[in-house]
Amino acid sequence: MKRLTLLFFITLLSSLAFGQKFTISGYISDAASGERLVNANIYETKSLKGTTANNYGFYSLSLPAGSVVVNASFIGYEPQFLSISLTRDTMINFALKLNSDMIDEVTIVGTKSKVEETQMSVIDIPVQKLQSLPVMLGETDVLKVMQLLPGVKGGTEGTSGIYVRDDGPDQNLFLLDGMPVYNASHLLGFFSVFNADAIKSVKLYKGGFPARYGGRLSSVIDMTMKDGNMKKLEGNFTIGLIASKLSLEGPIVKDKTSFIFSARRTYIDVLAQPFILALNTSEGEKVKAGAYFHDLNLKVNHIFSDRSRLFFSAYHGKDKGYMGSKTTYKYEFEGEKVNEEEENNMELSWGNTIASLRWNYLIGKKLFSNTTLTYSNYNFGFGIEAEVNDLIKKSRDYNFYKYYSGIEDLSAKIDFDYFPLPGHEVKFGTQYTHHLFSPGVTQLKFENMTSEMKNVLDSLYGNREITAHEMAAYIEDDMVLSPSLRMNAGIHLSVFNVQDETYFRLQPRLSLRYKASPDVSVKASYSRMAQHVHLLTTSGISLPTDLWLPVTKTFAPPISDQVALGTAINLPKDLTLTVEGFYKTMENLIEYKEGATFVGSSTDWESKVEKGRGWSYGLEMMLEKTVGKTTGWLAYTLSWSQRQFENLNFGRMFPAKYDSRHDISIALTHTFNKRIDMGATWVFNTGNAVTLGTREYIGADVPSGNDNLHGRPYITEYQGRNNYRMPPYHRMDWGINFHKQKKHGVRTWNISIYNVYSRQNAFVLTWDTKREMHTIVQDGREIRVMGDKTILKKFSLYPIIPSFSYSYKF
Amino acid sequence: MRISDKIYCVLVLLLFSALFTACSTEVEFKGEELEPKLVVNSICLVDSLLEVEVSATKLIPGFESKFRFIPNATVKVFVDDEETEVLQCVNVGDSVRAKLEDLFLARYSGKTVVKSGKKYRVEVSHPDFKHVAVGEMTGAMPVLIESAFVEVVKNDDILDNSSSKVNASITFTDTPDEENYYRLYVYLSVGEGFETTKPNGEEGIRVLVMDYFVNQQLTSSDPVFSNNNDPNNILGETSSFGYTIFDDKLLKGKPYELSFELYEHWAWDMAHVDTTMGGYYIVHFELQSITKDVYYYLKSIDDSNESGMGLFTEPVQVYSNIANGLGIFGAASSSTYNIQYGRYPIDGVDYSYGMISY
Repeated sequence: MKRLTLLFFITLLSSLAFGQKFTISGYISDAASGERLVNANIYETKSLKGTTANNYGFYSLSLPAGSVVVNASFIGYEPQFLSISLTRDTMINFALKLNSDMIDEVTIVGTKSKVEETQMSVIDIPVQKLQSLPVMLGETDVLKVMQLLPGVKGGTEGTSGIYVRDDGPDQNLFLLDGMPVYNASHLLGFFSVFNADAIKSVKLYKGGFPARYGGRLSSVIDMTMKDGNMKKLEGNFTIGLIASKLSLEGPIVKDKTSFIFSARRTYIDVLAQPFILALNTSEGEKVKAGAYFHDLNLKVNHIFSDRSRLFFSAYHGKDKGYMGSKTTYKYEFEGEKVNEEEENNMELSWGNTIASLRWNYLIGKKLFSNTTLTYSNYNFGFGIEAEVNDLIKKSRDYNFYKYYSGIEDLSAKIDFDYFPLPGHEVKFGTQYTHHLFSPGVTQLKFENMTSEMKNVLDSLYGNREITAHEMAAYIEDDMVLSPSLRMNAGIHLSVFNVQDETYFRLQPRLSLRYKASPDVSVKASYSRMAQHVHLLTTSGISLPTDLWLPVTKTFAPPISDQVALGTAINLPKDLTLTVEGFYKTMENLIEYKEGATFVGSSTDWESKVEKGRGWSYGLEMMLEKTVGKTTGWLAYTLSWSQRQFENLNFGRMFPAKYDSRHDISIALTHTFNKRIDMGATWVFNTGNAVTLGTREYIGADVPSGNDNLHGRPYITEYQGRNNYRMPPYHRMDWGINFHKQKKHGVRTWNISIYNVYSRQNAFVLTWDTKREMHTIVQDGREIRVMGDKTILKKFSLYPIIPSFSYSYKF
Repeated sequence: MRISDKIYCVLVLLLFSALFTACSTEVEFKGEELEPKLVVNSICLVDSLLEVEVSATKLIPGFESKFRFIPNATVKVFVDDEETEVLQCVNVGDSVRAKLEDLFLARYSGKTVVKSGKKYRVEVSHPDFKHVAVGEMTGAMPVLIESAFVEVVKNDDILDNSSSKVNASITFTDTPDEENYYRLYVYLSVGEGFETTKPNGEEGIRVLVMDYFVNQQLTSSDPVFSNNNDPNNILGETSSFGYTIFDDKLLKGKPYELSFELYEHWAWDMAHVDTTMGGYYIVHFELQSITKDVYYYLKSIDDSNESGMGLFTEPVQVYSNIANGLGIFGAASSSTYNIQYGRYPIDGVDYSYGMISY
C-alpha cells in the first residue's frame, strides 16, 4: 500500500516538473440547447494529448506554449478544430452542432472507445438513443436496458431492480445528480424511478471503481439529469396505455438560467375503478382498490459567470396500492334496530424524495470545484385500518396497524477536478452524510368507545430511529504513464460512526490499461469497497418491504475486494469485443434468519439477522457494434455467487439468491430511415436459486408426563438453502417507432411487444396436488386408481403484453 | 351504456386481464434423483428405556404414498463407546397396521436405560439404504422444580377483553458448569361440578373435567426467554409448539424463579371453581432438562411452524443430528409440580373426562 502511494505521488510530481506550459480550459456544450456534454473529448492534434470533459462539461488541458490546434468532439456532433497561439492561460468554450449526416449512424452504447479508457467494468449508456430499443407499455426504462448488459440482470419478473455480478440489490449505488436513491423500483416492476426524459447521461461501474465513489460493494450507477435548454422552450409528452408523461425545458433567462421539469403518472387505478366497483360492490357496500405511482423531476440552473454556476435538482416519487370497503348495516333483529357502519382500509406505499443544490466554481484554469448539498428520503409504509361505528348506541371500535421504515440522509460534499498537466486528471474531495434510519416500526392503535367509557391504546413497537454519521475523503489521478500505459490510482477513506462505534475503512483503488496495439488493450483493476448500509431482503420475492439498515456495533460494514482482468479489442466492421474476468470476496454480509420476516417485532431487527460472507466470480463478454444503421450488442456472462453464514444452512456454503450460471442478452436496433427505426432484445438466464423442500419425514415425539402432549410433526427436508433452480428465464421484446415531422415538432408512434412469445417465466415455485389416474400393483396385479399427485407449479406474471404510445416532441 | 363506453370497457378489461392475470402451470421437477434416507428419532426420558423409532423419508413430488414401515433394521447401541446391544423392533407384528396408517413407525427397544451424563450412540442400518445412520448424545442432566406459584390477578391490559389474568412462577436450580437447555410445559385441569340425578334416582354430583393445553399463549417478560422469542411476534409472547424452550445463559448455575403469565382465559375458570360442588383445578408444571441437540431441534420446529408467511420468509430447515440420515437423537430429564385447589378425586363423585382444549 505504501509503495502504491509513493508511486502515485512520484509520478505526479515528476510530471509537474516539466517545462513551461499554458492551460486552455472551458466548457463543451450542445450548440442548440446549451446543454453541457458529459465526457466530450478534446485533444491537441499534433501530440494527440487530450482530456475528457467532466460531468459538468468542463475540461482543462495544459499544452506547451506556441501554436496548437485543438479538436473538440462528441459522438453524434460535428467536431470543432481551433487553431490558437498559446501564450497564456486561455478559456475557450466549444458549442458543438449535431451532425445531421450522422443521425442515422447512431451509437447505442459507449461514448468513448473502450480500448482507450483506463477504467474497466464501466459502461456509458447514452439515454437519448434508448428510444430505439423496445419499451414496455410505452415507457423507455434505463434500468431495463442495463439488465441487458453483461454482468447485470434483473430480479424476478415484476421487479425493475438490477443485480450486478449476481450480488444483492443493496450493493448498487444509484446517484441522480449526486443524490443517493435508495429504492429504484416503481410498482409492479414495469418501470424504474428514473424518467428517461429527464436523464442526460448514465454511467454504470461494475468494478475498478474510481476512488471518488464509495458506499456500495457491487456497482455505481451515476446518472446526470438534463440541465434544461438555455436557448428555447422545448417539450415532450407521451401518452401510453397505463402511464403518461410530460417534459418541459427551456430558458428562464436566455443563456443564463434554465429549467427542466418532467412528470409521470400511471392511471391503472382510474381505469380499473369502474370494474372494481361493478364486480365487488353489493347493496350497502362500496369497494375501492387501486395502485398507481407518480414521479416528478425538476432542475433549475443559473450561470453566474464562466466561473460560477448553480444547480438545483429535485425528485419526488411515490407508489401506492390501496384497497378498502365501506359497508352499512341497517336492519331490525328481534325488535332491535341495528344501524352500523363498517370501514376497512389497507394501504401500501413507498417513495423517494430527494433534492440537491450544487455550485460549480472554477477556482483556476486547472481547478474545478463542485460543492453539493443533498437531501434524500426513502420511506415505506403498510397500514390496515378497521372502524365500526354503531350509530344508535353511539359506540366506536377502531383498530389501526401501521408498519413503516425509512431512511433519511442529509449530506454535504465538495469535489475538485484538478488538471495539473496533460496526462493527469486529479480528482479529490470530501463528504459528510448524516443518516437517520427508521428500521421498522409498528404502530398499534386501538380505540373502544361507548357513551359510558373510552379505552384507548396507542403504542409503538419495534426499532426506533438510529442516527449515524458518515464521512469520506478521496483522491485519485488518471495518469498517462507512457503512450501505451495508463493508470487510475486512488484511495478512498470512509469513516462511519453509529451507536458510539466508529469504523474506519481505507479503500485503495487501482486500474491499469496497457495498449498493446491501436486496436487492443489489456486492463486490470483492483478495488476495495465498503458499505455502511444494509438492505435486509426477504428471499422469497423482492418487495419494497426490504429494510434499509445501518451497520451497527454488532454488524460491521460489509467490505468487498474485487480484482478484474480484461481486454478490449476493436474488430473490423466497427465491432468491439470486451472480455473481463472478475473475482470478488465480501465480508460482513447480512441475511434474515430462517423463518424471520420484515413484519414488526418487539425484538430488535438485529435479532432477526445473521452475519456471513460471500464470493462471486465469473467471465463477461460483450460484442458490440456502435456505428451504422444496425447497432447493438451480444453479451454473455458466466458467473458464480456463493454465501456462507455460520448460522444459516448449518454453516454450509450455499448459492446466493441471484446466482446465475449463464446470462445471455442480445440487443439490436435498426434504423431504416429518419422516419422508422426498430429494436429487438432477447435475454436468457439460468433460473434463480430458491429453497424448495424435496423430501418429507416424520419428526420425533418428545416424552412428557402427560399423554395428551404427545405429537409428531411432519417435516419437510430442504437439501440446503437455495437448493433448487427455477426454470430458465428468457424473453424477447420487440418495438418499432414511426416518427413524423409535424408543423411544431416531431410525433412518434411506438408499438412494442413485451414478451413476444409469451414465455411464462416463473415468479414463484410451489408444490400443489392434482387428481390423476395412475397404475399401482396390488396382490401382483396392476390396477388403475385415481390418486393425488404432488406436482411442482410455477406462478408467472406478465404474458405477452402489446402496447403502443404516442409522443410528441416540440 | 353507449357503444363507445362498451368498447372502452372491453378494451380495458382485455388489457388488464392480459397484464395482471398471473397464471400457474405445472413444471417438471428437475431435482437430482433423491434416494430415501433413514430417519432415526429418539428422545428418551432419563431413567427410562432407550427407544428408537426408525422410518424413511419419502419424496414430495409424485403420487401420494405412505411412509415406509421398517421393522427389519439393525439398530446397534453403544454406551460410552462400547457396543452393548442390538435393539429389536417391538411392534413388528403390527405391519398390517403400518400399511393402513401414515404415521406408523417401527419402534426399537432393548434393555438399555438412559442415564444422565452417559454417552450413547446408535447405528442404524438396513439393506435397502446405502449408509449407516448414526446418532450420538449424552443423557440429560437432572432438574427439579423446587416450588411453584400461581395467582389470579386483575388484568390491566386493554388488548384483550379478559378482566383478570394468571401470574405464575417456578423455582429451580440450574446445574452449574454445564450448558443446559430446558423445556417448560404448563397445563390446566379444571373440574366443574353439576348436580345430577343418578340412574337409580338419587341426587348426586357430576364433575366435568377439562384439560387445557395452551402453552402457546404463555407470555413472559422474563429475560431467560429473550433468546427464544419468535422474531416475528409483535406482542412479546414466548411462542412455541405446545411448550416453551430456553437456555441457561442467564442462569449461571444458580437458583432461579422463572416468572410468566398463563393464558388469561384460564383466569375465569380458576376464579370460578366451586369447591362445594366438587370443583377443583390443578395447574401442572413440567420442566425438562433437554440435550442441546433436542433444544435446536425443537427450536427449528418452532421456527418452522411460525414461519407461515410463504413468499415472505426463507423456509426453516429442521435441525437433525443424525449423520447419513435424518432425525434427532437426544434425551430429556423431567420434573413435575402440581398446584391444586379443591379436592380431587372425591369418593362417590362421578367424573366425566375427555374434554381437551388446545
